Amino acid sequence: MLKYAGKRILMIIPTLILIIAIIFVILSFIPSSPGRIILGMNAKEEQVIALNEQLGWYDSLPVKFIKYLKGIFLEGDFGDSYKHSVPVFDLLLPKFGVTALLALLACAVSALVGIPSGILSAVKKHSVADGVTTVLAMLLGSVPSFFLGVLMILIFSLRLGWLPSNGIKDWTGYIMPVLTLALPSAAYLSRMTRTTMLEALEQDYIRTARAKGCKPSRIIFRHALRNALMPVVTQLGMSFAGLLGGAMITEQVFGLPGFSESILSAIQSKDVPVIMGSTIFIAAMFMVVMLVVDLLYAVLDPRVGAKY
Amino acid sequence: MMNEMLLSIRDLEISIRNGDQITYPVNRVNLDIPPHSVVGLVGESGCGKSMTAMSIMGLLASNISVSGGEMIFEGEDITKFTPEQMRKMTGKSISMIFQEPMTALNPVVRVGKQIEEVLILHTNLNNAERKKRVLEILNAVSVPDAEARYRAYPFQLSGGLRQRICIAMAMICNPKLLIADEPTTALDVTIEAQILQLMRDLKEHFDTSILMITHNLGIVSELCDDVNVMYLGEIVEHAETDALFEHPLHPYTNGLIQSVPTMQKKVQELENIPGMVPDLQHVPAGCRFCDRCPYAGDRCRAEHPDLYEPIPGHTVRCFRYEKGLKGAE
Repeated sequence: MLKYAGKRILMIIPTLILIIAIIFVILSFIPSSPGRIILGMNAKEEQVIALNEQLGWYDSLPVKFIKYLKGIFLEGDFGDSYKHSVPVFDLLLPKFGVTALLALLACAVSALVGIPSGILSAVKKHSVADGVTTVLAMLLGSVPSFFLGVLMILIFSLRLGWLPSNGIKDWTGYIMPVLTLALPSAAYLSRMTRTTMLEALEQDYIRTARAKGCKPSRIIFRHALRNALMPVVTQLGMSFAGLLGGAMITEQVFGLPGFSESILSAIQSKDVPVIMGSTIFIAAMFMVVMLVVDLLYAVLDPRVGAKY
Repeated sequence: MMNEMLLSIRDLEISIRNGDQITYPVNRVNLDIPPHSVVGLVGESGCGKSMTAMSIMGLLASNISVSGGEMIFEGEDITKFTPEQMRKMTGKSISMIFQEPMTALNPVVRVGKQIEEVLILHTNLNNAERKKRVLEILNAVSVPDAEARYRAYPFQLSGGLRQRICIAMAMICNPKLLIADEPTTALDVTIEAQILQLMRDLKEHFDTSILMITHNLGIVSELCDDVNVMYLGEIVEHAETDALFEHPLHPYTNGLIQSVPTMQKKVQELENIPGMVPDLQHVPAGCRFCDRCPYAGDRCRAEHPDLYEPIPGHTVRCFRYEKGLKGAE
């Protein structure tokens, strides 16, 4: 198990370098001149060239790439924003905090809502509770999250005045964005848990457990749940990627000061270091989540841990 | 006679509800299991033998139910038990081992814990006592290196070892009756012999009766005191093992015995029973075996035979024995 965890953690480094390389090469195709962006439209051409020279803009691609990697891994330096003239890291960190918190909370809420409701509808198959969860899940799963967000603003902010429609002055500002993001994902998880749970409950070892004289609750939670959760945990990790992307849209709907505004403005102004930095942040975040998922999987399923 | 039996099943009827359709996979089955004995229940796949076993354990699926008859176990009718009473009994007084040891164990729980769970459910022993008992039973079922196996997961064990684990799980509360549903079908022959020997030893050691469900007549002749032959939901013949093999009466039993290949005689073609088992929606009106029986006459097709007793202790469901043994000649 420890060996597995070690190997799995070490795998992050080459993956991360590969991702950085891909983004770096793609962004290098953008015809841009950092000197022009930094100095503005009215600057003299010589000044622009001099600044580009100073920034190493005319170096060959491999040289620039090695320099960039060194900066990140040795000094934690992601370069300076062309537009704001501050280090990218300092610029992104607070915004990243908002986005990451939003996505993580949504992930947690979708698991806490989706998995128990899935278990419930599997155990009480064809009951009223199962019907209600099924209809709700279909409804939430098919509604785009921004629409859900707008709808909630309409009801809870404008009609009832319970929750703020914009910004995050305190924790109440997170409630609607998190729900907007979490509910469609919870719907999907609920359906999936129902399926895997029903499958697990039909296995031979469940019959063995019943033959031992286990109570239904013990059969569900001790014997079926752990087996049923394995595919769900994998799915949870994958849906986190969706949640990170969805968080950008949700932030726009609720006006949260998250990643989306800095990425959008960076793309519009060709602020390459910021684009690079935010992409790496998101990739790293995703990799950490997948790492957690894989380790969790090894804990749930001894067969995975034993292979290493 | 009746009250001597450990388990006495009378007129058991099981029904499967499938939409509006109701079928009866088990029909008026009588089955007696005396204390300290091994009783065989033999028949082809789908004849209802596993269904009978499942009904004793209360493990029938939700659309299947016991719709008639009684099962007297130690003086109480277990068909009238509440789920709570059933749970108290299964695993403790009556336990069961299954055909597929590869899938009968939970893949993500250590086998020691799975055995221990029976003790958690049925005894008040503390942690240390439970572990001691588990190690004892692992030794009793000849699992080598019990201490290490206690911590193993099912996927780390072979099929034979897994079946031993299942047997340990079934035997740990010292049950009065062990139901073995084709316990060796999934194992290869050398392992099969070991497992059968183990069951024989355990039966002596723990003084447990065994209901052995199988389609393998070799196992029956080796292990069982009594045999019941089942065909399409009915018991068609019941006798002591030796008597049954020496004088099989029912044409079906005869066919079964003929179709076993032997080492002694080399034959060009193995005897088989002609035809297929009809499905439950198309049960013949008369004798259920009539379509496949070489002796079948008009009466067999029209009338359903009762169980006759041409030899004391040897019952058979065939008109040929209605007037004793002579009828068959």
